[in-house]
Amino acid sequence: MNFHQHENGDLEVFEIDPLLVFLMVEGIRREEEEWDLIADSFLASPIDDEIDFSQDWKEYVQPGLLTLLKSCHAHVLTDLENMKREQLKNLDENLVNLLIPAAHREAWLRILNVARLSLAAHHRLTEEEISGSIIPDLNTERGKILLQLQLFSLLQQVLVEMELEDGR
Amino acid sequence: MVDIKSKIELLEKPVVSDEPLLASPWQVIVHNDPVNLMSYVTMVFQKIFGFKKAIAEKHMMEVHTQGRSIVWVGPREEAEFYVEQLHSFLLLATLEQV
Repeated sequence: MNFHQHENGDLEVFEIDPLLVFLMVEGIRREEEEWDLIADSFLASPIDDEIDFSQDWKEYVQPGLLTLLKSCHAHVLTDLENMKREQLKNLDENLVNLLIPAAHREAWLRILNVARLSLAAHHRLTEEEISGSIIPDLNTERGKILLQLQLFSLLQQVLVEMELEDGR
Repeated sequence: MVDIKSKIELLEKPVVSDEPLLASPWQVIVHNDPVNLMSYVTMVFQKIFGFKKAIAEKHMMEVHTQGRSIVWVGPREEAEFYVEQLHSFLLLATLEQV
């Protein structure tokens, strides 16, 4: 897997192994009911002991945040669909390319974080597993999950560096 | 000539603000989550608060080593806005009155 930053700020991730493609798509896809869990886990009221505020947060702010995240998710899914479409055109090539437009970078950053947080929570990953210091055993399910987490971390790191570079 | 009647009317109708003159400020606190990349947290601080990189990294390290960092202090309404922004990047943030 290699990275190329275009002059217009688009990021091309090329020569992605089919296993990584599968893990990426699977890890980012979300069923509708998962968004409620994401909201409860990561978008909860920032003040515990004010009932009125917490109710207002749940009724007005949390749905707005969810709408934002779902919109980001839609952008990311579009880019993954484009990747799959390109893959179908080049079936004789084993490796796959993904283009992340500059305009979608922030969306990817948010959704990759959703994916990483969800993986860690759902599979109760340890701090050592999260740190990326363990070499995943791909013969096990947990190994594939760790590889998924490390893939998302790598993508996120690259995008963060691009974002910080642009901000200078 | 001085308009005495208007001046007396002004003195008899003081305007009182609903807001206390010295409302206690609120602080926005970011809490540690081992999943979040340090570089990601730094980036989010720079984006939301406009911190220079060194300040953003200082707050990020506080979160990382001490479990939390007070990233902003001020009026409640603004504090709520910043917490919402932090949540939109999936950072764990709370509000506390000073």
